[in-house]
Amino acid sequence: MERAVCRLTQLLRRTNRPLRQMLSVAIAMLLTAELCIAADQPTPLHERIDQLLDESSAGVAAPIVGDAEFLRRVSLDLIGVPPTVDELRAFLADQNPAKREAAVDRLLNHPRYARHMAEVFDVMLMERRPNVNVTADEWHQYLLKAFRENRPYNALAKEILEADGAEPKPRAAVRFYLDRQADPNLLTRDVGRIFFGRDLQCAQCHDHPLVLDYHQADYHGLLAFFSAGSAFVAPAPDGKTYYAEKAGGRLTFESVFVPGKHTTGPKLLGLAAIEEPALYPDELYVVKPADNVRPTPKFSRIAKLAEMTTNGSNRAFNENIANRLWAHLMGRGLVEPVDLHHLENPPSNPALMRLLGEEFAASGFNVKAFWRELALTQAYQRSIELPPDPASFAPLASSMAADLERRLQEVRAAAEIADAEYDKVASECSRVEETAAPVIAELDQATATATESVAKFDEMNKQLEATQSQVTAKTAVSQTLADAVAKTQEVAKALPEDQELVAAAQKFAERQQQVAAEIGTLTADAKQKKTAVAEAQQAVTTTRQAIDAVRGKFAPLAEELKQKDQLVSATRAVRADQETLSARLEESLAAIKKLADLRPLQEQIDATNAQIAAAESSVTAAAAAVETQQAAIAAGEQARLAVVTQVEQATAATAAAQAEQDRWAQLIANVSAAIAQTEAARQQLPDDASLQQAANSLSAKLAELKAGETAPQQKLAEAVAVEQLMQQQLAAANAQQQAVVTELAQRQLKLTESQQQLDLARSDVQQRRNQMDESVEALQAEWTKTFAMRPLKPLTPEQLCWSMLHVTGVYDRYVATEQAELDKTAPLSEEDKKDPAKVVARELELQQRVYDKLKGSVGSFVSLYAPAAGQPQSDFFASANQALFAANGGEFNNWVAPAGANVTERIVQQSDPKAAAEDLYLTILNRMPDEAEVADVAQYLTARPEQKAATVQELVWGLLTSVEFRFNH
Amino acid sequence: MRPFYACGTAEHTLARRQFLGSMAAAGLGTMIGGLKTFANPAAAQEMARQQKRIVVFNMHGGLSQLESWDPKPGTATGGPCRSIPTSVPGIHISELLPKVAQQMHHLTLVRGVNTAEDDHGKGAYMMLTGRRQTPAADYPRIGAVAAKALAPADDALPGHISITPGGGGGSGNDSAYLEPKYASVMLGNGNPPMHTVRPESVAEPADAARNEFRRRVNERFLTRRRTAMTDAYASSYEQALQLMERREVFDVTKEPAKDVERYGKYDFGRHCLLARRLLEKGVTFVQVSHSNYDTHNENFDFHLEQLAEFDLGFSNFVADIADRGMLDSTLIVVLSEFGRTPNINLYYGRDHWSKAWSVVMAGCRTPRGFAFGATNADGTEVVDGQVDHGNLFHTYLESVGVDSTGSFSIDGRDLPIADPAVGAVKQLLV
Repeated sequence: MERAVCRLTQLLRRTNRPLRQMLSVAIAMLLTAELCIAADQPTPLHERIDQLLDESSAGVAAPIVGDAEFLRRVSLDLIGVPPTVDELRAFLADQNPAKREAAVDRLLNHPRYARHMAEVFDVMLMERRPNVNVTADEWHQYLLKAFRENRPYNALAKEILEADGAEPKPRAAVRFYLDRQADPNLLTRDVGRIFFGRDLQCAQCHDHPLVLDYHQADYHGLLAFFSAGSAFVAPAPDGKTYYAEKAGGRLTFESVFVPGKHTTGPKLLGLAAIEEPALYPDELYVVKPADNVRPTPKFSRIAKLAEMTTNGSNRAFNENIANRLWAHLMGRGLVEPVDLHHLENPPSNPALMRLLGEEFAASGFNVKAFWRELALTQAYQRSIELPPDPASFAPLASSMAADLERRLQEVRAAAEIADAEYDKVASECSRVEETAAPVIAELDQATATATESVAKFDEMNKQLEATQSQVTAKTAVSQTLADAVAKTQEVAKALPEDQELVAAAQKFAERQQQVAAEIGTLTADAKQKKTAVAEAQQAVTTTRQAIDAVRGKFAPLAEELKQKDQLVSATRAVRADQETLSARLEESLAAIKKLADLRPLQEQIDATNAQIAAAESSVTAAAAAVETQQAAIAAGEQARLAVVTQVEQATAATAAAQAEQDRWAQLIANVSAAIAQTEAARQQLPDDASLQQAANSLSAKLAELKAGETAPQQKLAEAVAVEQLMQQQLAAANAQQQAVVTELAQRQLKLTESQQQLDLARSDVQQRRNQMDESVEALQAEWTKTFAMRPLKPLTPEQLCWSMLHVTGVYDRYVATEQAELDKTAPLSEEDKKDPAKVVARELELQQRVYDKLKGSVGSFVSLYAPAAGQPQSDFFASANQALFAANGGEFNNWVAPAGANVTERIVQQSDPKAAAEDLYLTILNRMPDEAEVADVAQYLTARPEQKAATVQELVWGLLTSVEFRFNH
Repeated sequence: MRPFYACGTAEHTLARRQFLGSMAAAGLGTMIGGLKTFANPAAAQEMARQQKRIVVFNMHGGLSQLESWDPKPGTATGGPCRSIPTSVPGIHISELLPKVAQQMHHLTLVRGVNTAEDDHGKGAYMMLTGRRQTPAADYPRIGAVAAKALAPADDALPGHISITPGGGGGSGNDSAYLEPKYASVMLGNGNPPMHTVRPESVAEPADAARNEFRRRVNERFLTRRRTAMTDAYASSYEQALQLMERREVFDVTKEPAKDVERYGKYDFGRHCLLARRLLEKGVTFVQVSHSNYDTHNENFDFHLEQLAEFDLGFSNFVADIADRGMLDSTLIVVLSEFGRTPNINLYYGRDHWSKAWSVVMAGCRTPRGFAFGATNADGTEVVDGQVDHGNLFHTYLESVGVDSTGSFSIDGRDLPIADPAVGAVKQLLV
């Protein structure tokens, strides 16, 4: 299989991108977490990293950033401050195609590199805890030296983990232990987090409730390395504090949830128990514990921990540091948070995680070389912006999804088997543990008895020694007295009559006898004590034999336990790999599915958009029809109104004609009545001529009238006819208008309907767009996690402060001052100036002096911007307090004031607004301004020309407090 | 094999789900975290309607329970002070608190406190965090917890304020794993927070102009990439501007002269008045310290003097909060690091005593006019209703509607809000 993978890999390098993706997937299918490296041609690490990342991102990737952004990014990461204007201009002008590589090399050899790394590792190791037992300067210098020399990281870690603060070990290294008060639980938590990437704190009282792979036994196994340690204050005149270790025993623990006691010796996170030398209680110490004495055990657990952790074989250690270094440069870890590495929070690329751990260890933990490889990856150089047109990758993703799905099923099945295997082995191991428990208890008992007998022996020995030294002292006295007796006797011989002398001689002799008697008693006592010591010695030997007996009984069990333990460790590692891979594949698959769905989603959006277009045109048509109809209604109404007028006129005409006709009829009636009355009168006055005349006249009139009556009658008939006609016309007009209105209602209904359809289609598109946005956001998270796009990374408080001091020219001013001071007090001779070593040394001295002057300001700045001491320091937070400091703090406003040749001063002196804008942007944001930005600056500067210095400060302030400055992008 | 726990499996399952959820969210590079568990949804709504607040009076050095809340007159340990009746029949307190006695109908005395810790620092830590101090972990103080759980996310005012008797100001290092924005803003001797006044060199229009410029610069950048972090950073400057605008919130001289008179014209009175002002203006948590009760010598003279100040300031404070209708939404706590020994020493002093002492609560879900728990006749032992710092911490939070058995989700970690080993005191919650 390996050969197949190699061939595919070779093919991969020669093919175009989409095909490359397919092949990458094919390779991923073949590999589990193994990596194939063609043995004949070692590919540089950075290329292998990119290959592995390409595989998991389905080919989607943000573009590579431009030169200016690259230089800002890599400068901030490697030396902690942005590039200077000169560096930036030179870099932009450089035509060398390998200039990025050259820049990385230049920065890795920059004098600020070690300084920056000292700060980075200080924060990583100490998490801004206060300095108590090792001064900040000692500690900083220790780290500074390590990074100046590019000491292998494992050597540094080893020194820290085995540190006790005493010669010949470096004193500063003990800060990790002592400034955590040597507290065993705190050290368990922080060593777990900082050196192994596992925060076991929640597994102290029971197996971790949330994390499957953090066991209580892991916690106590690690705790056992530190449980016999404490802080020891040496008596005056030394007075310093040291890490002191006693010989450690087994720890007993019990879950607060599941009853049953367990014991453990020192054990490293899932590995088999360490083998400790089988020492008897009387041979545990090089220096035994006593008052005011720092004990030294023969077997130091922390020394063992340091050795086995850092010798390159511990995968968790290797991967943790590789992940932390990666996170520093890449903006987030493959495992994130970096101290929560477990089965359900797997590395975003398990194969890459493994590769990085192995390669970093294989390089001899060479930090600089590792930075170099990371900085040269494509992944490091990607933009913070979204990859262009992600939906175009959808078809490829669809084709990958099925494969991934199958692969996931396989891995899940394998994980289940591994899980079951682990459970089986673990329960077997527990059974053996149970069997062994009474023997272990017996062994503990025998050891305790032996310890007691050793204590007794020690006590007896002490007493014997005391008696013996009394004998020695008394013997000396006795000798002196004997001399005195001899001398006085001699003198007494010479002066025999001197009674006083005789008495003295007598006295001396008596006293000597008395002392001799005392010596006799003491010697007898010593002899007795010697016997007691011998007995105690015998007891020690007996208890040793008792231990031996139990050990003999325990030996086969121990062997079995060891085997089971190793088996558990091995199966647990297999399970971890399978579970990790499975968890990661699930995430990838979810992302791939999301990506695959982008295309259909886009197609649906497009289709619905087409529907929208159609619906829009039908709405337009319907609206036009409504409008036409409304116009028709208006016209119809006008015509109808004309008819109405005509009807009215005709009605009036009819009325007039009727009136005329009525008048005629009235006249005729009146005349007829007059005739009738005249006739009646004539009847009474038959011959009255005048009456006859009148009657004639009236008759004539009536005839005349009757003749004239037809005219109005005809007129009326005509008028009525006209009116009828008009009424008919009106009825027709009304009917027509009614029809038009009905049609309008229909057209309006149609308009409403098409409007509804349009709205529906629009909300449909909106919904799909939201879905798309959600998918893209989820994908963005996934791409950031798999480094297909660059995470936005806030500057650390230290980076932010030093960067501000640099771009505002404060740093340079301090350099100038210190330089002048040095030139005055300790000038370099012309000869010195030719000696590169001396020049470098001078530069470092200068740097140190400036650092010492500014570290106070940086410290108070950091305390405002950093999380609380002892908490994880990677959390970003922004507070009103910080903004108030930047807005109103005297110190901050001084930084932006014009001084020396800083950017504020230069722009105050600059009359060309374009040049001013360029200087401003290049200095602070490390890029050229675009036209809009130039215009903005120009306008700002001309708004209050009489306050130029103030306006320039405001501009500098505005850029310094911008989001763009606050982040590394 | 999945771990199985005999204890509250459901809770573990729930916590686990939250944990996994937050892991997923962590992928977005956000700092969402925060409190997800209110006691119930109705409580959450209620909270939105009526913001809950907490004020803690910290009787620095260790107030004597015998000269205050749990007098034992006429016993060997009682000392010279008598007890007096209060506004609640049957409840008597020390004659050194005559004005507070008239507010007793608002208060609850918790007389059975046993914290078993006689060290000042450790005792204070326990009373303010609800847990014992361990080197392996640091816990946020109640003010930080309250600010995180109760303060509106977009509030310009700090949620956690500590009025100290003296000192300059700045920020306390007391938010532990919660974001530092929940650390206390210290008002040294009641003065406003640092950096809230523009420097003379920056006039207001210039400040406005430079902020406008900053916003324009941000707008251009944020078209490239916008995350929760960029939003948080950009808005911190807006919060600062709002805080400067509302600086008068911290200015106790804006309070009516007659109130200044009422509260007493000394520091503690002024600090009580400032606390009232801050709470009225919407600050979530205020701590007022009264110093110093560490009376190893001349206990009675000291208490006579100190409690006269406390009596005036605190009684007016309680009355005013009640008058303003704020008692239902304001939890008032009077605590110390411990009490003082029943035994009177050679110097007429009392020493540190954590076995049987008292805490006072009022407001929110606290019963009104109630005495809970009791000590024996000479005050040497708790005989009824014994509680400790952990119980009280849970109770404070439950009282303001926070589910004290819930967790904060911080950067992928679920951290229990209060000590999961203990719970709230039901009798102190109505």
